[in-house]
Amino acid sequence: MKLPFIRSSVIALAIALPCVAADDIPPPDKTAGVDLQSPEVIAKGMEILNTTCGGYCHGTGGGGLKAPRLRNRDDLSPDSLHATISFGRKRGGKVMPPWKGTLSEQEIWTVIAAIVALRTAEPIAGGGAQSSNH
Amino acid sequence: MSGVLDRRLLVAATLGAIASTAIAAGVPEIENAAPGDWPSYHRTYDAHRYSPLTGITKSNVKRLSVAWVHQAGEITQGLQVTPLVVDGVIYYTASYNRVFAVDGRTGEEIWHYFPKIKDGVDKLPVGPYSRGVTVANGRVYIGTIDGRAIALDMKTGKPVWETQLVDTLKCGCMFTSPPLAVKDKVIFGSTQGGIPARGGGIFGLSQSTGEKVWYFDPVLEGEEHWGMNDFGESSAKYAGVGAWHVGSYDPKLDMIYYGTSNPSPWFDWAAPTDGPDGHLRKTGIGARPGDNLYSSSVLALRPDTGELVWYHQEHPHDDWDYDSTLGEFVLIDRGDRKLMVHQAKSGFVYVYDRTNGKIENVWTINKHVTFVKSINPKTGELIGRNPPSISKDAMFCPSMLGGRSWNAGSYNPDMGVWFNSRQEICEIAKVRPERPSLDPLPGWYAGADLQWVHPPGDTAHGAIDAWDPLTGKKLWSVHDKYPRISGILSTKGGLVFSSDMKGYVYAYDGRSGTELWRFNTGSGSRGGIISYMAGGEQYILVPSGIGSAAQAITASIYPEVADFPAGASLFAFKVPR
Repeated sequence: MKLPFIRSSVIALAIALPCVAADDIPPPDKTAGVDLQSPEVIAKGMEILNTTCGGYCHGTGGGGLKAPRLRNRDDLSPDSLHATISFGRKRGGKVMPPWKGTLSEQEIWTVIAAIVALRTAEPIAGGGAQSSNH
Repeated sequence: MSGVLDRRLLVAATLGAIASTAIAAGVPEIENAAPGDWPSYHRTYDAHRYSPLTGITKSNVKRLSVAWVHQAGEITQGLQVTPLVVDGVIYYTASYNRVFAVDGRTGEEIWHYFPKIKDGVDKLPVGPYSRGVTVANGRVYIGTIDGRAIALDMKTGKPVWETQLVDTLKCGCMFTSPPLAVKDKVIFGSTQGGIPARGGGIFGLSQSTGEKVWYFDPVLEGEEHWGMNDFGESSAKYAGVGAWHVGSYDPKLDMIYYGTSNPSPWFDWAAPTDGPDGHLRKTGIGARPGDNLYSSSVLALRPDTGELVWYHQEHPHDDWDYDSTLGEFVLIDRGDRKLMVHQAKSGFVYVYDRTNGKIENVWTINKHVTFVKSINPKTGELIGRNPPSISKDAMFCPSMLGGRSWNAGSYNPDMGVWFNSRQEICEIAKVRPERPSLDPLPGWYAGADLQWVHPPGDTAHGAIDAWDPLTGKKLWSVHDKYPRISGILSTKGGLVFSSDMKGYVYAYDGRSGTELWRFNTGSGSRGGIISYMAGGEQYILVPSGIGSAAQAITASIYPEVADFPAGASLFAFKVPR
């Protein structure tokens, strides 16, 4: 089968990250035009996640580091992710800064696409404190 | 690598400085600190962090009880302060640079000052914590998380002047530690280290006007030691070197001692190679070939001008996030020898001749050390470097949390013993060779896949130890499952105080480490314990309120730490009459 112009990294990511259940994934008209199931969008979302504080706090590939693991989580809905990423979160003494205004709406939904895709990613070893009250 | 200016210039400058010190006005609260005061971050310029009070003793400490509690009202990142006390009034900061003056006898607030922090700063990865203020000549000075230096009236808390020192939203740099008041200057050291932007450094301001008198840029001054990166750019562009913690001051030598942070990016994907004249080669591959001066260095500067007198780079081309700014500079005189004991983040302790930077000894507090095979105790040379790489998951100990964190130890000059915290945690890192980016904003650029892990053949743990600071001989040790991340206090009464991550504050017998008393404050401690007098009685003051990256990193090994309760309260204890 002849593939259209798609970067090899995107292909690799699409193979590594099987399609997630579509039950709670909003359509593009609810996500600033971003298709949360597009392999290209998911790859771009991983790039933003890894190179922003997400990479140091939540670990490369969302494996968890100083901040909770994002990988293999089935309790993070796109809407709750949007609220948390946009407005930040405080839990006791811990703080996640708000990204609204720093990331555009499209970029926020692009990152969400990556986190949702990580639901079924291969588990990885390592850090990631999972607070019982995340 | 070390350096000393032309020795003739050094001698002339020193003699001149001694003469000028005799004339210049100083900071009487610090230079002639009353026994019942705690007027500076480490109490005195020599950073002993030791109280000469004897009212609380090994005999009566078991009766130590809560006298009062002051709540800071803002628990984000806990309470990381070492409070100050002058004439029975406590001056301390909480997160978001909230400053309080509190009556030391009753805990009643005298005044507070809550600066309006600029929008957008909350998006940055550093802050919003504050380690304290400094007091001098009727003023309270603070560096803020949005890059300002502010002076307040000590009696009223009203602002006197304000100076914008760094563009925080552009560089990601700010002030998280108190400045140091010296003569008529107040010295501020900014954050950086890991954020790939310039702008950090050391600033000397006028106490009376806030005018910036001098600025030491640790990268500009050493720019020739930063090579081109693999993207064809000067690596100095992303250098990100700051000096974020408090220094020390020797009034007789007229030198301030400051440490600088690690460089950026955190990890390099190419190991350094030896070059000419004892420096590392600055032509080559990688993120930042060369020594990367003056990152991870100890600097001796003139407080009036910021002139560099001598330096020693403890971690040339740092590969592990080991900066030299987090440890205090403990000044110790032994006979004719004017020494300085410095805890580096690597866990190694450097003993310097503080007149000229000559190394007298280097020893480590840690059981697990794999980032190097050893360090030459006479030259400080790193032997057998073990850097992370792109080709494998390399493990190194100690982790980027350090062999010890920035919470200071305490030196008891009567005993000649240094009480210090320690942590044994290792790290796995696999470097990603990426071009640093400041987009969308200046944040931590890790540049590696990281994990924190137990040491090989051991479990991660913490401790407090008693040491001979010059030889590294250990006298006693108290083990803890978790790192101890509070500042330690020792007293003339023979006691040592330390708090743990769960919320307990302990008093130990300084001679043996035997526990004599404990109290549960309800939240772990990240700040520094102090002692002071008010109303004729001795108090022990304990900041309670866990926070910081240390908690988060420990939680990745011991998940229960993530749920340790937060807080931000000052607990004052005394022995009831």
